[in-house]
Amino acid sequence: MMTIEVLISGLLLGGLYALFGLGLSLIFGVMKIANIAHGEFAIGGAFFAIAAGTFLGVPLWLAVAMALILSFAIGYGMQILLINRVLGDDPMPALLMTFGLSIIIQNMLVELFGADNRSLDIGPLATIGFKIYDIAIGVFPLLMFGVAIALFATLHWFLRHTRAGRNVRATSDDPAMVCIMGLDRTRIFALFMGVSAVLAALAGIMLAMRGSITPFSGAERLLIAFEVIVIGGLGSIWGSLLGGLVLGVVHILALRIDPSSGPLYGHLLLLAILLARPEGLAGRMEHR
Amino acid sequence: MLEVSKLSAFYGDFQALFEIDISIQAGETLALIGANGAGKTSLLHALCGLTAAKGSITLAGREISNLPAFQRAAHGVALSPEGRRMFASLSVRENLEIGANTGRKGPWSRESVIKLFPILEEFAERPARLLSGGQQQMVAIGRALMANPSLLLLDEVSLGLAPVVAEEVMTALGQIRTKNEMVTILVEQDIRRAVAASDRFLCLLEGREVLSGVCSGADLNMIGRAYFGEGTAA
Amino acid sequence: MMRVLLLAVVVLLAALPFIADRGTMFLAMEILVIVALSQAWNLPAGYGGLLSLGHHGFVGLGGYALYAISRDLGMHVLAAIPLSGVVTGLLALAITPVLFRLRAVYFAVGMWVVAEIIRILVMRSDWLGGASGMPLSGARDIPRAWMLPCAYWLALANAVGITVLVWGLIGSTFGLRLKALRDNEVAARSIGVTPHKVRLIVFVVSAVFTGIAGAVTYFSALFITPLGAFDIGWVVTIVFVTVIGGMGRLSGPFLGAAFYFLLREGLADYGNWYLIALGSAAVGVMFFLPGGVASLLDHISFSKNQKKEQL
Repeated sequence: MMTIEVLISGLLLGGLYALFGLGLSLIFGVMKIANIAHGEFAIGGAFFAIAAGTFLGVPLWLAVAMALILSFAIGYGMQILLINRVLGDDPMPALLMTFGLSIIIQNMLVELFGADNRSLDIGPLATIGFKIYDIAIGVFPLLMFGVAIALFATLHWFLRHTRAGRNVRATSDDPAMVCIMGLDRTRIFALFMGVSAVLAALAGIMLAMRGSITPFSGAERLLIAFEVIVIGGLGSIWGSLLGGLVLGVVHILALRIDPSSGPLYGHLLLLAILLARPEGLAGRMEHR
Repeated sequence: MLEVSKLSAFYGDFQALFEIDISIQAGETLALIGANGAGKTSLLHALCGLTAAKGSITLAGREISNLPAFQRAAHGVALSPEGRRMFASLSVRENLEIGANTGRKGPWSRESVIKLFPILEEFAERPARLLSGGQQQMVAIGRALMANPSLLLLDEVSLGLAPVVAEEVMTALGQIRTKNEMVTILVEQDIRRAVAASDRFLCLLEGREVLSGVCSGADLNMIGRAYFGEGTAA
Repeated sequence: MMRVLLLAVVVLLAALPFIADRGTMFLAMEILVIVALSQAWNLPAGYGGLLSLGHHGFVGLGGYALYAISRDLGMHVLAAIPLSGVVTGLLALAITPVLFRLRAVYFAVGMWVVAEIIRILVMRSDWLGGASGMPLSGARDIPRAWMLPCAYWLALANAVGITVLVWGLIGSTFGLRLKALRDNEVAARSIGVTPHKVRLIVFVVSAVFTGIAGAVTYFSALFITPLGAFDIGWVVTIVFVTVIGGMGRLSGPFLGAAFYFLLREGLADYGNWYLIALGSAAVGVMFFLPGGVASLLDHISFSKNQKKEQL
């Protein structure tokens, strides 16, 4: 029964991990850059929500909504004003710029909130659970998982069955040609950075509800997101889900078997995948 | 309909076109001839806005040279690019539909494009990247037509195609020519084919115009010499 | 003439411990360490197109190698410092089969993951003091009063060493091969450049001197902990210093280090604001001046030359 419990815990955690990966995967897929500030978008979003609750006294749902809207605006704005300027064939300037942005955000958070642990209080929801056939399942982890799946499904539907989604896929395939079709690539990129920021913020908020965070938690989240998309595979939205689930199970397993290892096995798995199957478990080779 | 004046195109420091002038009437087709590197694709890209360029471009009375590429599409510039450049993750149907993204009105729609290239109906839901070269070329032309352009740019549509397939495509182009006021610029390495499919021609060498004229009755030998830069003052 | 001037500067710097107070000496040592780290990172990143976000792994490993060698092999601490560089160099060599399969972003983050793995392994290892760290046994080898001057001279030697090495490599045909590789790999291969070997050399050299810099830092600190030794802050500093100073330029690390320390000392009373300023400067550089401060100086000297010609 313990193995089943480990598996289920891992999968539920994996839903959250998949959400971290999804935001990064969208940017990587459409713009071909890695947003090093992704972790900070997540943690920043959580801190917005915490601040809104603490300083403005708004109820939790409103704090979360405000944080998500603000995150979209910041992601959109950052893309239009800064990152767009350095996009090109060389991915390095964008990498360095987002690295700079991540440090700015991280240290602004320290200045504003201090370095202590913070979390979002969801009251009894954090601890209630139920049992199915003697297997304990937490309600909140199940909720997180449900939200993640719902978002993946929504994104899939959007990309496959809407006109805007078609345009996004085309932009990711051939950004130059897409201009010929009358599409403003800059706007699409900005929209995507905004969406990515919202997804990151949502994941960060759920993380803060599940446990606690500090302004320095972003770096760890970035590595998780990166591992999720590499393990799952690029070019595939569902690949990020798979990668997240696998990583979640690996982390929970490692916690039971080798408690002091932290994210070690996830890191080792990343290197193993890069060595043995670089396209990821579900990915297809890039057509470049 | 299309007036181009002193068009120069640049790739960074490298100048690919030197003050090209073009004038095309409504309904006409211009053949753009020249060897590799002569500047044919650069000219098409400069017209679409994909390459940095100086000079004036007027289409249907509107100056479009200061517009970014995505706005030129709304003004009626459409391109069937070299190498087809299908959107790899889109189906054939989606590739055609995205061509109509600007919503311009005109004789071309999915129905009329399918009538031109019937085989596309069969492949409608197939991922475009899985089609053969000739089929992809049909999609590329169809995609450009779906925009109901005022200026249709066709870059090497017969390149890499088996002769029979190339003929099929060129025949279809012949049908396009007889419709409406659309101006077409056709880039072709095969001089004979280019001249047969067009009203006028312009021959480029190293980014400069070396010869131009009317296609009917044109001396192919003279064009050939200009193509290779023989006997002309460069 | 230039070389004589530079030699004079080095000699002057070497004399610093005899004329300056401990505070100044310590700061000078820090500056030299940063310069060395930046020069070492610049070699693969600026010239070779191999941007690593995991160099803090080499810094920490260099420090730990020093402590382990000094304690377990009983070697004199001064001899152990260069040896620490050998350890990091060997690690770099060992990970290239995996890491060199990766390009661009994957390489950058992949290096970060490798650094994290090293950090976790060190933290779990009781032999290396675990999470609480360990003291420097080698401290016994040198009289207290001479610790800081020795650390300073080592930092100076390391900085001079890597600068001269980079200057020598880049100016040689090796440098041409490196640049060719960065500009266009396919074309470079076709003229006989072996990408793997070229990249290997710059990467290992970078790791060696980064490790030595780490060893020197923790030599002066007398105590090492995993949290400090493998702090991502090392990479932040290195990357920003090099980017702001000018990637792929010999003067970059010097200009960047100057900027960094001015910022840090100037904003010392404002907590983390110097980091925010540093990050903003890096973003600003990417936006306005991708060549860094070094390219700004180029503009100035260029226009000066132009004026000369016009006269």
